Amino acid sequence: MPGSGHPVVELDRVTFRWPGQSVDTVAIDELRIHAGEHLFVRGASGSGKTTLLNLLAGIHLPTTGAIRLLGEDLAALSASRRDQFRAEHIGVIFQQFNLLPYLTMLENVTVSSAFSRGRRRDKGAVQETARRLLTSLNLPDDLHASPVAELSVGQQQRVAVARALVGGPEILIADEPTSALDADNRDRFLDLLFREAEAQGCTLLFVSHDPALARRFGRVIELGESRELV
Amino acid sequence: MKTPQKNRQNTMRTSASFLSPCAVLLFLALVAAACGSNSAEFLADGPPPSLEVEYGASIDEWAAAAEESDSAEGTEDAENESNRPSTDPAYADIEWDDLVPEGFSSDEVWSKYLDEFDEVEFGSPEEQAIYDKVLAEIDPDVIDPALDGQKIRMNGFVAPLTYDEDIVTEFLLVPYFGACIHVPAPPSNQTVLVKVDKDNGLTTDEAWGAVWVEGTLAVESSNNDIGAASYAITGDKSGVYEDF
Amino acid sequence: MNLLRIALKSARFRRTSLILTVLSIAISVTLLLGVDVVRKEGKKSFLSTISQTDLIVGARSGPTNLLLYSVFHIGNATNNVTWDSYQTIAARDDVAWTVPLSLGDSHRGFRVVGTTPDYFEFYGYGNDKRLAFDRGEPFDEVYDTVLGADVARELGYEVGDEIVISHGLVSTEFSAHDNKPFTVTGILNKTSTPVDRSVLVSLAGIEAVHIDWQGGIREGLDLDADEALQFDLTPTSITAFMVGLDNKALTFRAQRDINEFENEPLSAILPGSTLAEFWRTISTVEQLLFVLSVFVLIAGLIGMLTTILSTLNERRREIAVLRAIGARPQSIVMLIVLETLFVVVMGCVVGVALLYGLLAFAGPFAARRFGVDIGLPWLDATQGLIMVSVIVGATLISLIPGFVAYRRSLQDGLAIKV
Repeated sequence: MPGSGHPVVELDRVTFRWPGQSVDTVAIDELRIHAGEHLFVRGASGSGKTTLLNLLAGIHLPTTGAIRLLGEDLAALSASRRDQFRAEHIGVIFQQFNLLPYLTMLENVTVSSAFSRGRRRDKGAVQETARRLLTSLNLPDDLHASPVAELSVGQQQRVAVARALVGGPEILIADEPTSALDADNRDRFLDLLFREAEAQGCTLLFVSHDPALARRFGRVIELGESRELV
Repeated sequence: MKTPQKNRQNTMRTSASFLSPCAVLLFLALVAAACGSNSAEFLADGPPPSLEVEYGASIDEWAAAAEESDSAEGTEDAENESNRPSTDPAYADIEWDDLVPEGFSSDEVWSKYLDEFDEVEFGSPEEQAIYDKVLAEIDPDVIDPALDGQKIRMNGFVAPLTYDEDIVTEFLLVPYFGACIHVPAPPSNQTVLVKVDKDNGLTTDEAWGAVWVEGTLAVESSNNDIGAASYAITGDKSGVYEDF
Repeated sequence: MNLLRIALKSARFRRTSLILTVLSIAISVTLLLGVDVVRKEGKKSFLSTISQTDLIVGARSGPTNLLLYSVFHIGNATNNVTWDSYQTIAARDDVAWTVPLSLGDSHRGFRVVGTTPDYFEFYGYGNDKRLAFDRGEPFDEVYDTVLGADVARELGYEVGDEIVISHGLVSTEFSAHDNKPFTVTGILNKTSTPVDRSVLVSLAGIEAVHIDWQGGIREGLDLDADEALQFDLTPTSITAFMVGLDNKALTFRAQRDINEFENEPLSAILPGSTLAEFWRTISTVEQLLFVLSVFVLIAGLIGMLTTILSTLNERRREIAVLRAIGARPQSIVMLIVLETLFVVVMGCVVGVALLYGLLAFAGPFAARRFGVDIGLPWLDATQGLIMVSVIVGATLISLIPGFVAYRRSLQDGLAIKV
């Protein structure tokens, strides 16, 4: 149930400032996200949402404050442990160019197993899960071996969802995944995304500048002031 | 509360983690290069070290010149350890003078006539007559039969005769540098025919400088009645002479 | 799916631009290896051209020149050796055998060598190898000839065929001794020496064809073959002669005596020593060639570096994606390094193939032109080391774009600033 149990994401007095800058790019006093929540993070361009994503994914460490994911304090992990953590527990979807152009559709989904020790051992299971996800995202078997260049943007975005989910991550981060889609595809995409996220019990962090999408989410926060909007 | 220093430490740690595989690769490459240079002869081929040695120089002059240049450079070529002659007591060191039997060496002949030279005028025809006598007595063909079958070690310079691929397997050993090309020619008892098998032969580069040979000395009689006998060595080992 | 497979697929995807890099590396490898192979095999072949001969004597000349024209048939003698001088020296006590050589004629580009049947007994090469007949037998009559293996093969001659030799080195109609054809009596086995490209005739045969030639052109007499036989066909001069001594220890004395021969200015050389001397003059050129090849390699590697660096910009997105799915920055570096390794290894493979192709194709031409036989040798340790150095060098260079990618991946994180 959303809202129950330990928070999956905890931010405490987190600030981030690029060296040489006089102003914080990100300043969040407190943020708690619980398992299964769908969080919409709204922010205009330049509001620091990219930096926030980098922080949440463990790419950068905050200048001050603590970030805890699934109970783990990110600052306590070495850089390679953080990368490992991301491979195991976080799925990321970008706005566009999500896929590696030299791999097929299926390979793009299974490629994440190259970087996750757990998944590397179980290649057969990864392949199966990948196929299942792709099929349930309206990407049938006969497309699985296609080179990525032949796919439409909508198809590519759905492949990105499959790749993000194939490892069974607890946290799903989506950075403007619908900006490149037209209105129809956007709604369909969101339907699929929500369905798959719920099926796996993921916590979804959806970042976008478009307020119109906010109504589909259970919780909205506004970046720049770290106040919550209902 | 995170301090900026701690985050900087993390960044430094990440940079270091990049450097470590680099350092390993670089180290391996250097090791490979160092090992390779010992066997890579493609850069080793070339003229012998430039020593101030003139044609007709003897082994001693050569050795002296090499010592001079060595001490100037301060180098000792450890690579040629394997080329140093073995201290195998089975092979006796012999000098070029040893090849001339007692009483026949040019020194001995000259010294017999020294007194006569004192009695005549410098540049006179009498002097020329004594001179001719001396030359007639220095028999370049006389050999010492006692040396037949001896296991010996000797040094000298090389005139290559036969090659097996690019290894010199048969050569004439002479006492001084440049004998191969220029006059005066060494007498036949100071020219030794050496045969050695390919594994123990000399490369063409080694054949340019002083070499040592270990083997069995033999006195070979000539093919016809008129000709004199001469020395030959069946070489067991040969190499560059480095024992300065 | 592991890092290596990703690197391979990535390289394959970019193959159009990488093919050029592969080619430039391949060319450098071919050059580096080629210089080394030609040097080594050329040297072995060169040194084994003649052996078992103690001296070669000709009119006074530089030693290299004498060696080249008498043995390799490259260049010409400036003067001849009179028959008298030759006889005098051949009669010396210390001389065991001699073989006279008379040069100056040719047959369709191949040199004609006037000599005696002793040539077949005493000419040695390589490791005490001797000439042997594939078909037929040595010349006997005045107008008999023996062909080297390549002559017979390239011109399609058989025992019994008739050939016409020409004056000088180029066969033309007006320089041909066409009224005095020679009959092939024998064809030699292949020796991989200039003998293969020789047409061997008796000294009498050389005299016969020149009986009506004075000063290089045919004079009025125009005698035919049989008429020429009426004359005394003892030569008045020869070009050079090979000498074998009773006792090799006397070599230097014999050489000095011949060099100081009163009746005529002559030069005597020790073939073994002169071969080595000549090769040494070439070795400076070899080293220069090797240094040049190294520069070509450096140029190729810099080109490769430029290509990789220029593609890094396009690949920022791809790197961000890899980071997102959990790739560590070191993995990004490894990816670049592995791709480069793949390209360089391909370059080496193509380079070696190119080398053997060139050796197979151009080898025979080199044999013809220079008298050295290179063949298709296996690569040795030094050449293997050259390839390893190329691979290591290129891999190290790839660390530069690797490092750039590494730093960018740290800064960019998940964002692209395209």
